[in-house]
Amino acid sequence: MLGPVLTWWNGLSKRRKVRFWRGASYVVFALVLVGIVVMVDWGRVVDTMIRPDLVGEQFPKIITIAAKNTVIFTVLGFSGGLAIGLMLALMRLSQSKPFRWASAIYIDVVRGIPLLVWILLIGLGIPIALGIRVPGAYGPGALALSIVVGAYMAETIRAGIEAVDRGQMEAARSLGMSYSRAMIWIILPQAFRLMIPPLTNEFVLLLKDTSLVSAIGVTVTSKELTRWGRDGVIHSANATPLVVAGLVYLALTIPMTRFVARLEKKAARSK
Amino acid sequence: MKRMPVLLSLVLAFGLVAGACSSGGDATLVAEGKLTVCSEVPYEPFEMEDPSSPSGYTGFDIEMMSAIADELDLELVVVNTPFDGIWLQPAAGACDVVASAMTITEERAENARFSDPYYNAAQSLMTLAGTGVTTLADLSGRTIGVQVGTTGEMYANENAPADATIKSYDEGAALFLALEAGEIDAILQDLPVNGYRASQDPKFVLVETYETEEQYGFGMALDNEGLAGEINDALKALKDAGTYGDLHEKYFGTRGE
Repeated sequence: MLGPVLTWWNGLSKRRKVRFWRGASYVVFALVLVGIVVMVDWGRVVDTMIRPDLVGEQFPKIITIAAKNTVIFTVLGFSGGLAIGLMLALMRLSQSKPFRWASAIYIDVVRGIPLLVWILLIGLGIPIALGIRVPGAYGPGALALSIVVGAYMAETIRAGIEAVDRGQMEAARSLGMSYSRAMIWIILPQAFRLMIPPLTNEFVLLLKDTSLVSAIGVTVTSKELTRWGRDGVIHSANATPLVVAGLVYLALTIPMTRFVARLEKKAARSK
Repeated sequence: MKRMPVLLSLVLAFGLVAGACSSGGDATLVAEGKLTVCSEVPYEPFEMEDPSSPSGYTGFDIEMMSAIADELDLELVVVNTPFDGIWLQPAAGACDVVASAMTITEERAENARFSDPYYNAAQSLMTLAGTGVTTLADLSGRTIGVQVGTTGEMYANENAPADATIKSYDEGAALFLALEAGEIDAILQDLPVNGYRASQDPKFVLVETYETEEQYGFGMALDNEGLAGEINDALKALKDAGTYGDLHEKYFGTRGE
């Protein structure tokens, strides 16, 4: 049975073979699409995953409480992380060996332990062991996020600083600027422009990682999006609240990832 | 047009396979010959780890389930599952039955079929020794810890002073840590669990008990009438044979009802 098919196939020109495969890929794509549309029980999907009355119930609190808290945790974690990351990056580039070592150890240790473990350590472990508590409803979660994000950002910032042409520093120094003045006024502004895309990516990753902070307890007013969605699922026995929470995450992240894509395209063109 | 029949038959074949998976009215099990139980461990004295037991777990719930599995001639398998929404797990196919110190409530019964009650519980308030808190009203302006999705959380929401902060945790075990860490000033949860902890560790003091008249039940999928019937029969047989009383006495000091 295979014989005639093989002779037919071998008789085809290279161009027709390419066309055959392209056609085949369209057919498979269309089949999968039609299969999904036909096989899925859409009434059931709507009823269990995106029920209109439950969608309505989520608003406005999913925005005024849950999304607000997600953004607060993200902004606090990002600001703290930026400060820690900048300090670590400068220590890493410094002439002093102890500074370089301390920075390298911090980065390796912090990045080598999962974020959830840091959150539990700072929220529960350290208060029990040392009696030190981070104040505020956002305090422990935001501090844990800052500590971890700072370690990741340090490498991004260092790469950004190193990407600025060496001549910039030399020129600034030859004009009589001190090292720190040249770093602050000449190097860092140029480095940060290069770092906008990777830092925005860090921001998006962090925004999603805030879903872990509920492990150390939440109050009605400090619930973030994931906890909100999970609680909603439990109360309604329906996936709608979690689906809506997912859509709110998308509404927050997609503009940022698109923004980065545009910047990167622009940067590629200007090269 | 020649392609159409192929496509159609493909779609039909998939449809038939999907249709053949629906179930009948008898007791259905997620794994043949096994009674798969969802339970949140640890929640002492109802569920705890025990490497020496065949299922790997022990506690009042687990020993009850083990005895029921013996009655039904099934092997006990325990799946450690977060309590939050645990009563939805049988319908999702994660296990056959939930045995996790779970109170029978109207809200849960909308989405799960409960067995006959097997334990009478109440709510309670526990603090660290020497904090001076003796009633729920003393917690005005302070923080009360509860576990997400529990009857303790519901009780706190309804009865705590308006200016008290209610902080909810994913796991029961985290509550004790949060109390020791000073993150919360008191724990509001099921009496037997707080009571057991207070009896094990002098740092903790049980200060108040609330007679909520709640009862624990085993939870199953709504459509699994068959299994519910078998479990109720087994529960009755264990009560008649005195096995239930023995276990109740082992864990709580009385023979129960």
